Amino acid sequence: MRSALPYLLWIPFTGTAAALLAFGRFWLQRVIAVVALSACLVLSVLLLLEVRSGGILVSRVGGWPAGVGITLVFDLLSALVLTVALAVLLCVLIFAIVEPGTDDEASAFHPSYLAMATGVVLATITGDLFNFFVAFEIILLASFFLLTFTAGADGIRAGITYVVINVVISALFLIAIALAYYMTGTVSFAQLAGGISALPPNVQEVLWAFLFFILGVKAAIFPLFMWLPDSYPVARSPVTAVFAGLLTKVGVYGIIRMKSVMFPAVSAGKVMVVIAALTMVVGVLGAIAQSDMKRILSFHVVSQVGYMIFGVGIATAAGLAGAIFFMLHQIPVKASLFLVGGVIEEEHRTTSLKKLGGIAHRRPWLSALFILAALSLAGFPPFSGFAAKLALIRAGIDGREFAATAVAAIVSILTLYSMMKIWGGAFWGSPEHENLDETPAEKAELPEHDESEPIDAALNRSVKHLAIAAAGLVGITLAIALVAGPLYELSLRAAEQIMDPKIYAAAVLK
Amino acid sequence: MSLSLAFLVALMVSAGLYLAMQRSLTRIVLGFGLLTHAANLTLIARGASLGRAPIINGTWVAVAISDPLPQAFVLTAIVISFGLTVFALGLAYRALILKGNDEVEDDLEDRRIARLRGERDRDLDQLGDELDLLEEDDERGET
Amino acid sequence: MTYLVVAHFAAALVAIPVARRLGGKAFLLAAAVPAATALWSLTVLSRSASTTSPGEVHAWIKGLDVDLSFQAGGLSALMAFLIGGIGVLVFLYSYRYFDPAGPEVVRVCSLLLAFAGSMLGLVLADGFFTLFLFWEATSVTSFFLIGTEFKHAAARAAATQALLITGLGGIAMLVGFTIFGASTGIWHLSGVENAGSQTLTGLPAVALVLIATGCLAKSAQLPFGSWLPAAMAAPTPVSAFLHSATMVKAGVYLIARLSPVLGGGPWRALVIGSAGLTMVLAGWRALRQDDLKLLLAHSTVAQLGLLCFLFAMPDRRAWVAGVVLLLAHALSKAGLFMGVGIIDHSLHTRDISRLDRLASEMRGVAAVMSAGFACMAGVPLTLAFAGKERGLENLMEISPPWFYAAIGLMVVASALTAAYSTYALRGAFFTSAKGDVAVLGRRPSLGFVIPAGVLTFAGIAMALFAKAPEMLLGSAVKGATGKANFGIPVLPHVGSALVISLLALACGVGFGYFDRLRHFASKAALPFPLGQRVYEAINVGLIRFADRLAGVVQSGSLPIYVATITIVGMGLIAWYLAAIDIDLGALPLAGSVVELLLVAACGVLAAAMAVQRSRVTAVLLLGGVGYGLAAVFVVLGAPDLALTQVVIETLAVVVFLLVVKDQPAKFGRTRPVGSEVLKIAAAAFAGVVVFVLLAGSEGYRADHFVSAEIVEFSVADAGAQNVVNAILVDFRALDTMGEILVLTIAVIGAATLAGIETRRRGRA
Repeated sequence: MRSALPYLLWIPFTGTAAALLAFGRFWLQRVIAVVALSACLVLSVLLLLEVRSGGILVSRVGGWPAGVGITLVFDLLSALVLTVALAVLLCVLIFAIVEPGTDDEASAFHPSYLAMATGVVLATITGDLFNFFVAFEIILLASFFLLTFTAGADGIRAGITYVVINVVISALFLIAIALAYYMTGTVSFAQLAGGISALPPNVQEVLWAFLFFILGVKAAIFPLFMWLPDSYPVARSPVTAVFAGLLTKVGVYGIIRMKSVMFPAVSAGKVMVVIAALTMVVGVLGAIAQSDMKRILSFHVVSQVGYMIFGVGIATAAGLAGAIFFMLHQIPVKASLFLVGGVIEEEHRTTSLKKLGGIAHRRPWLSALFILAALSLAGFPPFSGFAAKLALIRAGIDGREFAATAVAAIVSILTLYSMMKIWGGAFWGSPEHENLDETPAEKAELPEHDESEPIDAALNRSVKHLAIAAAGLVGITLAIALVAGPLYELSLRAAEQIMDPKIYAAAVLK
Repeated sequence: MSLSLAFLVALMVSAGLYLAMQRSLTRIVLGFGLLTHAANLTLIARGASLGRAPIINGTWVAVAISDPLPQAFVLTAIVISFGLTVFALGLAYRALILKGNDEVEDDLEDRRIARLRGERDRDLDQLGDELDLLEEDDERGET
Repeated sequence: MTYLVVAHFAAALVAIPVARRLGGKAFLLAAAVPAATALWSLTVLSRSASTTSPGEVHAWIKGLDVDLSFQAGGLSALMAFLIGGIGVLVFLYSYRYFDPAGPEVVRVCSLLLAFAGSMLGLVLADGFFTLFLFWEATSVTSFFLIGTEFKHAAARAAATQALLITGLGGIAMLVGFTIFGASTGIWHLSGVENAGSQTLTGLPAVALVLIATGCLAKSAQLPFGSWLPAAMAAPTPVSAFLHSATMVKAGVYLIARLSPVLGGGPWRALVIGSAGLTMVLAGWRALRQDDLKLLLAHSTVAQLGLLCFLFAMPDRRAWVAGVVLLLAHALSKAGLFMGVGIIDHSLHTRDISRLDRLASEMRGVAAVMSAGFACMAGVPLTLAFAGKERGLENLMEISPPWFYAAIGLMVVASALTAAYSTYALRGAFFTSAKGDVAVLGRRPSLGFVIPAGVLTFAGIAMALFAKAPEMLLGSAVKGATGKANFGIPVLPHVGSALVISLLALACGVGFGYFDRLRHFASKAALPFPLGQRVYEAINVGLIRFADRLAGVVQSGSLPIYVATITIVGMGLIAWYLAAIDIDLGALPLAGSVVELLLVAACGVLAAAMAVQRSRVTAVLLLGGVGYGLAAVFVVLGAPDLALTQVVIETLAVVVFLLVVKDQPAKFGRTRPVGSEVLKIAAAAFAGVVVFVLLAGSEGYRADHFVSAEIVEFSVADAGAQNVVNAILVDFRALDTMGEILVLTIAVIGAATLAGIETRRRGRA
């Protein structure tokens, strides 16, 4: 199966090219996109089965040894993250196709979406630091476009926030790479491991701090996250769903990968745990202060990143496994919450809790979807969030990080609190009309369709279709809960595999 | 790497970041241009060696040439940052069309939350009233 | 057991379409499910007086010691019987209570079934996490049931409050279970029981405090008591089922399971302290209510306090008394709630002061309620009396200092119970109304009253026919004390306990009967703020704090974000950098004079750019820096690079100029954000850190660079002369591929961005 590894990359890449050639023919583009992502997902699952017992697939692009050329490395961590990521990408793609006004707004949508998928694949399977940077840039540019292509004035402003922070960080990333290369003579992860371990501990720490800072901005940790809640809610819902579900997690993936492969000797645990706790708390409190559904959810993205960093900071295999499992749970659950938000937005033209109300009565099934995902996010059993939260709490207790564990527990109640705020505001309750303090811009956004008007049939149909697409994603989160046992085993195995950097280095350099 | 090169990188980083902290999107993108210059220069200057161009005629002598790998990195980076710049300028152009200027406004919702504490206090009073509904019956015994 | 639990949830799903079609009649069908539970629990109870039935274990998350496991001990089976038995009656009652065509029927019917399943799972659970799963499931179903009337703000607020407080307890319990399991290796209730009585210290003791917190929150004990009175916003069948008979007993149940074996250490002090205070203060509160339902709610809190109090006592005989009272309270309180529901239904009020001599008009209800209050207050010849007698007797045998405090609390609590029971009965049924009289609408049908009557009279019947309670309680008692035969005395022993309890009863009745006395009592302010006010204060405080924090952190201003990220990131690096020795003297000033001159030129241009206010000039300056760098690249031995740099730089400047040409010539000075000094300082700080980084890294050059091999390979294998080219097209072709992708998307994206508006305009 090793020979199949590069196809993971070539499929979406070719898809991008094909979608570009089909410029202007939306249906053809749709078929190409769905086929490419499906094929990629199937391949990813097959490869996951291949490495499930602990093997590592290595593919040397062009046949050159690691360091000289770029190697693709597919270990269990890559496999798990990639499979879930592709499944979510596919679900959201279908949602975007169903939703009017998303993929038919610009011919560049599908090429960008596939390019983003290519970037995600590359970021998770590359074994090369500079190539990782390139993957990030691919994701970035695609996401720039997806974020802004339907934007009005407000969206452009939000897009600018996202673009500026990210391009500044990209430039600093290059400086970090330059330093790493100078100190180790290579950019291959496997060789970097050896090169960095030869450096004095102080110097290792500096290098780690630099990379942690950069990936921390991408992952949106405290206090580097502010760009996220401002920019995410403005995009079309499927775009936000994929951003919130996936993109910050690529940053987290980078942190996990680099910490474990390149900096196993750096004891950054305490710093990370403190940052993680602050991220959780500030994120969730930020959410409590909001009164718009998508903004609440965006702040939760931040808060939940804290949990993953906490797991990495515990610095045990169980902690890392908890972080990985949490990531696998977060990707679909966050995306599905945003998609439910998208359905609501499609129907009501707003996600402001003040203008929404009574959805539980009118759309009971959509409400059920939301509550399933919301309870999962808050860590209620038997949903996937419970297993993820428990894994981290257990790891925190075993790792003697009691204070941060307590924070994680309390934050989960605050998460519930703000989920209940959404539920109480949008699903129960009734819209609150005409707030005098509102700015004119907000007034302009008031829904055109009043509640009393009959719902028009086309809208009703499209809302139903969207709800079905969102249900697919909720289905994934439920499936994760169902197979939580084996999946946690796999996460633990993945964690143990990367906790020992020698395994990685041996597989790549042999 | 010489002190002067290090100084130039540091200067460009400073100036670039300073420009990135401005309101005008054009200035921000200009700042980004400086930052990428700084990054590219760093890549070259932190290579294994500096010397002749890495073009081989006949046998190669290790000390004589510049490290080719960072040069390849920079070539890739230049193109990528050109892409970023073009896109950012596209954004600036669109902002110009939509708003008539390229100023980056503050986020309205954030400002509202930061500003309108009065409104929120009223909301909270309302919340208090709702909760008091529950309490009311409770306290009636006293009157 | 698993099937029984799963069947409930399946039934809850099936109930949705069925209830849509049948309306209210669905309740009658649904009653079959709890009936099955009741029958099953009877078979367990009759069989397992000697042995506990074997457990069932299903694997779930092995790595975290999470499984689905059930075991039916005596206490579990008793609880299951209550869930099933009371469940049947609640469904029958609901059939009469709800408007058969009402929109809430479908929801309530389905949710009640789901709740019954959750509650059953809770009491049958053996594994900690199985227990937790169903524990939270009851919280969630309770949330939706309280919010049945979700159009009312009070119902929404109450539902949220209940979920948050029980959820807080739940998470404490989850952490408690995890700590307990991780430090003792025991993950099942049966494991805890088999390990025998132990006094834990250290971490496990912390775990116990957390678990006890969860129990107290669920059973509405201080300081978590506020949610239960608020939850009375729920429809009455829900209150009768969840908030008197079953769900609120979950905490009591777990305390009853764990106290005998883990009572040592902090557990006992915490539970007895909280419950003892609660039973007196909540009783006091009940006395002040005019709303019958709220009176019952506060009384429930008080009675739950009494139960926890007894279960946590060190003497096993107090535990037995607790079980007897548990049964008595579940029966009487569910019946009383139903009775209040009937009054509410017929008169559209529950306000005692508006009820006018109801006894003459609603005889049946009056009888049912009288029996219920008598059973709850523990009048002689009722089950509760027998239970309390045993409790008091046992307490009298315990030596001081527990003695005085415990006896005192129990006496005060019983007196209060008697007092508010008397007050409620007399006020509603036997005195004339004080305010405007509520008018009796439709007389309640017999079918409406019977479920309530069955429950309240059962409390008396069981005291008279002692075989029934012995069968229900036998195996639970045996599990705790080792002997099944414990004898419930129909007639009390004559002794000091009897004197005390009769005295308490008399005091209470007197207190409740004479309005003036009651008024005097209820006017006395409580010593400290309770429940609702605290919850409200926390709620409001939390939102205010969150607002303030969000206002500071999330300023919404991009310049501030960039500055923050710069300072934080560079600060982090500087923090670690400070630990490294750096020798700046080791670096040469410049490689050559040309280099120095070019660097100086670039530096001047870059600095000028930062302060330049003319757009075009600034763009040209950037171009200048770019060309300057190209020259530097030539000097540094990278001519390919220089060439590309010139080309790209030129292109970039052109694109820049295209965008800039439509804009004002100068950058505006509008609305600067943050202080200019701070920005300059942040930027300068970043510059210093980067300078130190670069200069400091000098001494840590790698010994070996992969580029050596690259050059060799490119000469030997790739056959290329230009190594940089070879790298781009061969060694690192993947980077180049990515680069092309980036460029393509960027160009298309930018074109789309620039074009969308015109297209839209064209359409319009």
